Amino acid sequence: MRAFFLITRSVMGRLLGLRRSIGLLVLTGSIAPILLVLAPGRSDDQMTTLYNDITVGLGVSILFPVAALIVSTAALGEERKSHTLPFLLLKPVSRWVIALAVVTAAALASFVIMQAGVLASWIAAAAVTGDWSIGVSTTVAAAVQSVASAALFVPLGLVLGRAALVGLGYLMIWELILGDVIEGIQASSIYRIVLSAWADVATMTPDNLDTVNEVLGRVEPGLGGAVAKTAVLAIISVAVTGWLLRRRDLVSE
Amino acid sequence: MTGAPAAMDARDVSDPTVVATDLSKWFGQKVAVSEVSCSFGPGVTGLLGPNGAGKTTLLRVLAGLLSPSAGKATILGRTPKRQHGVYRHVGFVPEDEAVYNHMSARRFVEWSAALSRVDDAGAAAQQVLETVQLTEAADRSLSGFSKGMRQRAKVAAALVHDPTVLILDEPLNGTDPVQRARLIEILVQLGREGKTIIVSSHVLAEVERMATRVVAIVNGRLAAAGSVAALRDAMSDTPRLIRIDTDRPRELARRLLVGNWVEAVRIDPAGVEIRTSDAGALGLDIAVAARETDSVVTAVSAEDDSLESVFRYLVDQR
Repeated sequence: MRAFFLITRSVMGRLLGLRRSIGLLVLTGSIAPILLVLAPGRSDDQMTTLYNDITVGLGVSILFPVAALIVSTAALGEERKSHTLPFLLLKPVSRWVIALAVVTAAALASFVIMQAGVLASWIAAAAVTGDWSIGVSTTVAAAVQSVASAALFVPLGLVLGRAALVGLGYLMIWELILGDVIEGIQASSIYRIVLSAWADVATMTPDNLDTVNEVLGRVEPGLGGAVAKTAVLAIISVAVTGWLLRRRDLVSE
Repeated sequence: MTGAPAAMDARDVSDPTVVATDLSKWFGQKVAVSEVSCSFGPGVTGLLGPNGAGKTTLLRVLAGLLSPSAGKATILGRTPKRQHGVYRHVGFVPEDEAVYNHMSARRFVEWSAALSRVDDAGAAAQQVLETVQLTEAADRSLSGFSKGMRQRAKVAAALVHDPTVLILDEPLNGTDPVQRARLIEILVQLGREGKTIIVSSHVLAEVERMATRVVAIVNGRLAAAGSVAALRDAMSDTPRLIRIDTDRPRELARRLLVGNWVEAVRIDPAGVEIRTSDAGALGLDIAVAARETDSVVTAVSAEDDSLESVFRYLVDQR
């Protein structure tokens, strides 16, 4: 347990380095100023619709996944590139514990970055509508997104030198384009898993509901289902990452 | 031990703690380490080889960072790549300059201690930071450290759990002469205490100062193993360079040339350097020649008895 906390804390400390954090906070925090610019003259319902549209259309679909991708691929990828992996690997610690700690750290760091942006837009929207529960759904989405992205991109960062680029291609092509046209892959799409959790908690206007149902396709909104799918993904990720740490040569000659 | 001087046995180590058995490592078509069998025991062993010889790969396979393509590497009887518990007894200093830039030196060393299950990580870190003389800078971020300071921080992190086996890849790189002398002193002391210290370096004079035993790798293969003196003695077929300090170098040189074991002579005002194929015979003749030429001989020394000459010989042999 001690090793788990030590590794989680050190990986989080590195992932939340000043330069990266500032860059990503600019990214995830960009929703709030957009809301404030578009807010004047809107009714409460219109503001709720706008908040949901921007949060889903910009945050959940692009900004949050990209922020989580950058953080998660760096969790072990950066250790490998900067040649610090031996400090972690040459310790009397089970590879499964290392894998679990790193995936946890990546998820927590991603959540911190996303949630800062969520809080900014939450306050901006609530100040106009007076509905202070408006950001709960986005917080839930950020939490599910953090875990799902860490599960997918931590092992990817370990095996691929350009994992962030590959991950970006995956997000754009698989999740946004193919997921839209091929119904068969919608159930396993992280974007739709996150959106189904969001939709289960969010207060939506009829306009929002139509848009969300169109994106979800065959996926039913449901927080429980989203959490279950994400948990399975996380377990598989820890197993794969642990196996990679145990079996693969992760340092160069 | 393929191709090594016959007098040396790479496995001739009492109480071996680190053992390589027919160890090979290749990356695609490139063979980095080929059929190396050798053992390391208590004391300091220098791992020598030219750049690209396979030293770093060998150390990484021994430490369990890389899997062997063939053969086996064990530390304290266990395979580190699979039995991670053995790292409780192993310290490793990688060649790369990298450290955790988001940590201070103290936190880095404490973190290493805690992960290695040291009970009082703080006290252990303080002690080892004192040993490597980093206490004043201990609370500064590693990102602002010079290369030499980073090396010392890495050495501190490798020592903090009091390992039985310490593997160091070029640990003296980037250190200034004072720090270098201190690190050598520490390693020699640890070797005397019975720790197994394996240290690679390209600064041969320093290896000579700290290592009691040398393992030489050339082109991925084991070229030789043993003490420097034993290696030198094994190279009986190579000419040796002997320097004689005398007041009458010209006369002494002329007289010594009579012996057919002298291959070349170089004279300077303070003495004469002789390249000989038979150092023993030359040694016996020096006293006779000095008497005959009425020369005063103040010193006789083997100029090429250094590790560098041993190493050059091994490389040439390959």
